[in-house]
Amino acid sequence: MTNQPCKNTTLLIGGLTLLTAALFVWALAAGPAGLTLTEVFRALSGHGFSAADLIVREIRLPRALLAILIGGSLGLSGACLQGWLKNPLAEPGVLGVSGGAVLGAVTAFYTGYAALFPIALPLGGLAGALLAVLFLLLLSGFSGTTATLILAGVAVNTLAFAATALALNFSHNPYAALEIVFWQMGSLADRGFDHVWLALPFILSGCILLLSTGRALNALSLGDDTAASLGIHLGWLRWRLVIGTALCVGAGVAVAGSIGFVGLVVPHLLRPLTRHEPGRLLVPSMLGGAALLLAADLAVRLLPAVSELKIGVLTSLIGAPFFLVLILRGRREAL
Amino acid sequence: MNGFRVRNIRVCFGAREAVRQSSFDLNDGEIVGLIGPNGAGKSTLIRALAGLVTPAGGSLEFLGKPLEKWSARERAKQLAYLPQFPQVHWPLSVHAAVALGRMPHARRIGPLSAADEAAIERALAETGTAALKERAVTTLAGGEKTLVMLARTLASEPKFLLADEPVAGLDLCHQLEVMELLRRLAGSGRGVLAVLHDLTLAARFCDRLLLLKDGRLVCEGTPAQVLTAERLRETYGVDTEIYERDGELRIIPRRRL
Repeated sequence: MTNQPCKNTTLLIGGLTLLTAALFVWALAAGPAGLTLTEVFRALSGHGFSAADLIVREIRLPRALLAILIGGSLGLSGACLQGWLKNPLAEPGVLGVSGGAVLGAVTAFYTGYAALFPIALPLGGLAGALLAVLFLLLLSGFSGTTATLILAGVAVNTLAFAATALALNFSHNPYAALEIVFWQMGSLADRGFDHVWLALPFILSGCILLLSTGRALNALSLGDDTAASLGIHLGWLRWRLVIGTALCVGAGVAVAGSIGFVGLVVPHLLRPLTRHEPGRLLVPSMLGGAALLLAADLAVRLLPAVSELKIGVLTSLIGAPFFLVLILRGRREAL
Repeated sequence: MNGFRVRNIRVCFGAREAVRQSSFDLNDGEIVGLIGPNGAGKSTLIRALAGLVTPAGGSLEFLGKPLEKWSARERAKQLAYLPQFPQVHWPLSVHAAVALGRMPHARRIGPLSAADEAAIERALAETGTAALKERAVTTLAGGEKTLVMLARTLASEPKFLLADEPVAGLDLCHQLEVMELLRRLAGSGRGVLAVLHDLTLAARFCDRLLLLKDGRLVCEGTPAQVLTAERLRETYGVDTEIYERDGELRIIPRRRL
């Protein structure tokens, strides 16, 4: 009987892995140029140069891989931050890193470097995320409390938002401003392997750092003092969480703009299925985030529209009412 | 064998000295009650013993070795800490909450071993909470929750238990249940230090008492030695009536001075 939760988690992880794999294959096959599964697998395995091969390898594969990387890292960092802050409303944006990444990318737009060479955009985003983390640690002190860290995150976010608005305000021409606004909405369209290789090392190392916090997060559900008395080093945990989230979110925003609600909704949805144990929630949230972003990107691509709907707009559009329903249901249960 | 050997310990928060120059020993197999008025430094002292705050001075030995020399994990195997009003932030099952007590022993990755499961079952049985195993901790009443949190500390099979007000907010029956449990722990050779406010309860269940006032250890000894009307007047500022019945002290507060 005591192994029941263990078995359930394995089932959940297996199911989510299958779901992600199925969505991944679908993402490679679906689109204006409809391809059969055979064509997809042949394109993946071979080195041919037919139109189908190029579409799968150069256009759809990097896009689907980015959806998995970014969705997975958003789900994982959301689950970690919710566990750490003991608050189901925490999300990866609270640390201000996403704001910093947006500002960095916008600066690349504004200075015109983004137009000169495309990779300047994500590089600017990464630099912005890094600066935001340094600023965050300076503001909150190296050993401050969780509350000072969150307040510092709010300050960083506000400052980055103001600076971004300033860049828009002084934009040379309306098209540049429009481009910045569209980029901020978040999208995986027209991303290539350049973007994948740029984001991959950061997201992978961030995920490894975050996945290592599971045990500590479990202990933290009994409060900071009890966790420390159980042998958890709180300062070291904080570093792993801040740096891991910054790597994941910074790289994600840098290549795809800001994509909201995945980091908030996915852990929230999966938590009851993991018996509310924060450590058990990490891997399922990562897989769930990957599946959700793959599905959202598929929806964006397949929805008939004059211009493509931005994925960040879609996730927020669906996420917000959905979240509202969750809150209302929670309130009814509490009454 | 000494559980704790404390010499001239001082704990400071900024310029304020919360614990000053206190020395005492705590032995295995005894319950020691830490008493004193609110703000006397009891919680701070017990947190220092748990390694949660670093003393500004003095020496603190646990099982013959300076406390700061212990690795966090090794210390956690021998020393358990029950905070005042223990919190549980998620609706964990009772079993999962108690299982957290195995953290210092368990493998870092993978399911609990048979030895871990056995320790959890023993802890649940010892505290009489086995029937609650599948319940969510957040749905438990205060007394049950305290027993479950005690089970969590027992699951790590510590040599020593530090409990900060383990009977605060409990009804009469649960107060006795918790104190009897602590008594049994001491009987099985473990050391217990508990912060207590109910002096009659402290006198009845504790082998020794430490009386703290303004961060200073005012008096140490058996309940009969420590609990005199004159001393309670000096430390608590309260007139008390103390009498003995059936070999036990009864302390009744009369009026403030």
